[in-house]
Amino acid sequence: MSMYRTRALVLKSRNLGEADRVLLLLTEDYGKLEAAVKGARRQRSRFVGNTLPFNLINAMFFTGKNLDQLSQAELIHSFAVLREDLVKMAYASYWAELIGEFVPERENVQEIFKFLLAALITLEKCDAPDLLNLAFQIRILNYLGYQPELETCVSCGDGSASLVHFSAEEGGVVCRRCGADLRDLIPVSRNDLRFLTALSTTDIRKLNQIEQTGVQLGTIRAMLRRFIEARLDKPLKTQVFLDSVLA
Amino acid sequence: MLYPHAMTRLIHELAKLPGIGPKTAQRLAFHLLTLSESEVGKIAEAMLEAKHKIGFCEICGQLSESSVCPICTDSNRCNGMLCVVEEPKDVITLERTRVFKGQYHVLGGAISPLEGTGPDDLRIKELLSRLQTGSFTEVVIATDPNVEGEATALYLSKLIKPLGIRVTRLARGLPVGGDLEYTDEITLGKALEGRVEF
Ligand SMILES: [Zn+2]
Ligand SMILES: [Zn+2]
Repeated sequence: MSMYRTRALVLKSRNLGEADRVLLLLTEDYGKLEAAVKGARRQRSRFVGNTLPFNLINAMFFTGKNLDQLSQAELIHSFAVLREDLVKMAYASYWAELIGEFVPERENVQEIFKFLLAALITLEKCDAPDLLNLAFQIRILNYLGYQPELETCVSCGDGSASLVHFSAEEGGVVCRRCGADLRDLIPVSRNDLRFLTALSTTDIRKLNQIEQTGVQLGTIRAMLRRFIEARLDKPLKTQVFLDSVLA
Repeated sequence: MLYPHAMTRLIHELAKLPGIGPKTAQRLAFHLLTLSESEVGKIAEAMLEAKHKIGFCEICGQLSESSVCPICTDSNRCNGMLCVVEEPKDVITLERTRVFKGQYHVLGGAISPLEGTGPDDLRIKELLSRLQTGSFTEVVIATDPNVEGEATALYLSKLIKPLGIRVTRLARGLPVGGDLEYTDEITLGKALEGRVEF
């Protein structure tokens, strides 16, 4: 049995049997992984309290036959606000699911760990997390190499033609001519595309400073949502909850 | 050595129960074989009788032998207070404290965004129609003190407050991250008395 330590963000917690819990964690040094917390549902130790979703912890694991075991969890930062504000919780849960679905297990993803941490810190203090959420979506896609094509038509490669549509299925913008043969297109403007690019490069604490003239936020939301659903081939469970708390 | 077919089947069926692994199932099966036929018959009968007779109360969602449970039919318990819990077992747990004298509403779970359990999967519509037609003056939210329970409590308070009904939540002091089921009676009784305004 060997042991390892790393910083980790708790993404999700589910019950296992009568007494245990299984955590999904994004760790700084060992990537995304699952680990059991023995007796988590029967004891009231500080250790167990430290394993709530969205907490940032110093974690120590023992390797196990099927599942590694979390043996120590020292709290670095409790994102309590994200558990007490329904809208923020909905966003944080959405991000956790996005990472749970897209990030492969046990791969080195230090950049994603650092970005998620920065995003959670920003979300904690943010009054209107809508832009932050859009930036989070596009950047996670970028980190994982799934970014949508926004410069040239994904169908014919023409960059000079007027790019007037976005196809989630094709994975990017399409020109007027190619769009004639495609279905489920989202009409987009130059301003929308410029805005989406700016979302992926601007400091996430300063998203409000991006020029919004002529930008349809509804279009940006639809592009990212349908693009993500097309890559996963299914809607995210947390999207339903997010929709219901924003309604 | 392989077990005779009937024994294998018994072990297999017992192992389907929660918290029972193959080893425990095997031990239980051997124990059942040592009992008299009438004793085994009583166990089997009790299981079947419970399955046949027990349904859910139409009003509160608690386990019940009749279409409306004894608490919902008891006029002494119409004191304007409604306690909202996640599971039927939570009603039993709270009744043991003997502190609460009102009525209950069982949601059938908690909001869990990551598990895909949304408000529509719970008995929230039924709760709202009870509140709109009933004479409740206070709703005590007694969901589990974990992330899902808190999310459910927040969501419900947002819905209920506009109806002009007082919304309270069991006081903290309950173990964070735990299950209501594993909380002792004294702690739970205290938590009920010290409930707080949302
Ligand atoms: Zn084209
Ligand atoms: Zn009832």
